[in-house]
Amino acid sequence: MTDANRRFATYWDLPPSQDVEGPDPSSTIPISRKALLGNLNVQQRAYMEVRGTGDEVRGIHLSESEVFIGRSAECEVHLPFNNISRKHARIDFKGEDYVLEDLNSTNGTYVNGVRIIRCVLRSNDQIQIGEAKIYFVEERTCQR
Amino acid sequence: MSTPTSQLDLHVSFWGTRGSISTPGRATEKYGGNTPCVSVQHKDTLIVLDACTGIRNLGLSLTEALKAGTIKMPIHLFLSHTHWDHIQGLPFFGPAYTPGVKLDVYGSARKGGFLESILQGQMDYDYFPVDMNAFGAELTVHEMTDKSIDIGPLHIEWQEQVFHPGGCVRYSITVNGRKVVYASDVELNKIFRPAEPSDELAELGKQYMDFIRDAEILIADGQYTESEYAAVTGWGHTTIPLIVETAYAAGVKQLALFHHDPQRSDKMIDEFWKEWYPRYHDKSPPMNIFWAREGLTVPV
Repeated sequence: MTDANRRFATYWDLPPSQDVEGPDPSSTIPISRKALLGNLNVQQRAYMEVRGTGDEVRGIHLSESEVFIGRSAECEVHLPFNNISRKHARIDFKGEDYVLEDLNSTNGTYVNGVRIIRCVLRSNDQIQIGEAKIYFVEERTCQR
Repeated sequence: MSTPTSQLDLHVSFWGTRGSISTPGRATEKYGGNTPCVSVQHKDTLIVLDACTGIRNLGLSLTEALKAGTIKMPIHLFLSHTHWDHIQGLPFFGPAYTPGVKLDVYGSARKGGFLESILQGQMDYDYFPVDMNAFGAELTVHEMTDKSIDIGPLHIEWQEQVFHPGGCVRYSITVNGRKVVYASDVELNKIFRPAEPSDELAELGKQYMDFIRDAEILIADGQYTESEYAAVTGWGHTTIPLIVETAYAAGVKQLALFHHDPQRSDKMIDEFWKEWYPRYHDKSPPMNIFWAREGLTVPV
């Protein structure tokens, strides 16, 4: 086996063929790419900072489950203001994105000052629902 | 500030907002790296504006809607022009391969009967492994001759835009008095800030103003800054300050800056937005300015 083929086999972590000689004890042993990657897993995490009329700030972590925002106490993000619809908006995890959708609310859902029907959220987006302001933060971390 | 819910039956969705060439990567994640494709939906009628790489995701999204029958046939695709960054996504538009789908494609009559062959040409075997005969959809190509087209309650007007290499068409879509204008790829600086003013340029300026006047939303070319413009004069694109001033003077309610330069990062666009949004938000009457981004659907 040529050196180039050996390096190619190592790159793809293919099983060595019978005629591959053992590593030269005087050289550095190559680490397979598979071993390097191991259990590498990109974890997506997002949270919202919710501000009402006062100074209080609520932090809400988002998972892959849908989250409803509204005046109704049933909503995961409960905003008890009269200018907010009972079920005003929803955040879904679709593909690898958090998607905010207005649920036909009376006063609308805004992202960075733009009234939206639907919006794929990105970090630092500012959502306005009635008098509540929601700051969306997303981060991706590698977990091993 | 709010629009009555009953009027929210007209939506504009952005599937690709980048100009010139697609720009995937971390720096363009927010505003998107896909090239132009915008859809305008009124109830079950779908109009698509341009067919570059953004149309792939529109196709994926449409598949479910087509199965559910919530979109009426045909789908109407209006092409502004046939530069690569406005047609290259068509071979990746899933519904085009779906039997039962009807796709009506419209474009400028300046192509002199060659619009269909131009679209076929990009699927020539030298460029793409599948030719246009593989489309299972019923495809009809129209080179527009009438000044306007009516599709149900939607009234569509178009005009040739002069200052873009090879030409480009702008479109307006009006329904129930609400107007959406798509006017990308034009160098308005040549019309509104000419080196040598003329009656002809004044007339072109008037035509443009009349076309966009009182639009609920104007999706417009704003590729360059003033400082960049000297180096790109003649490339067929408009500067940000000029399109903002022009849109405001024409009574546009909402301006979506579009066709972002490939070099433009999310951070740079955020800075533009921070600079321009408050200036016009606080005016009377206000104009809402935003930079169009992929994955955004707005009511009209």
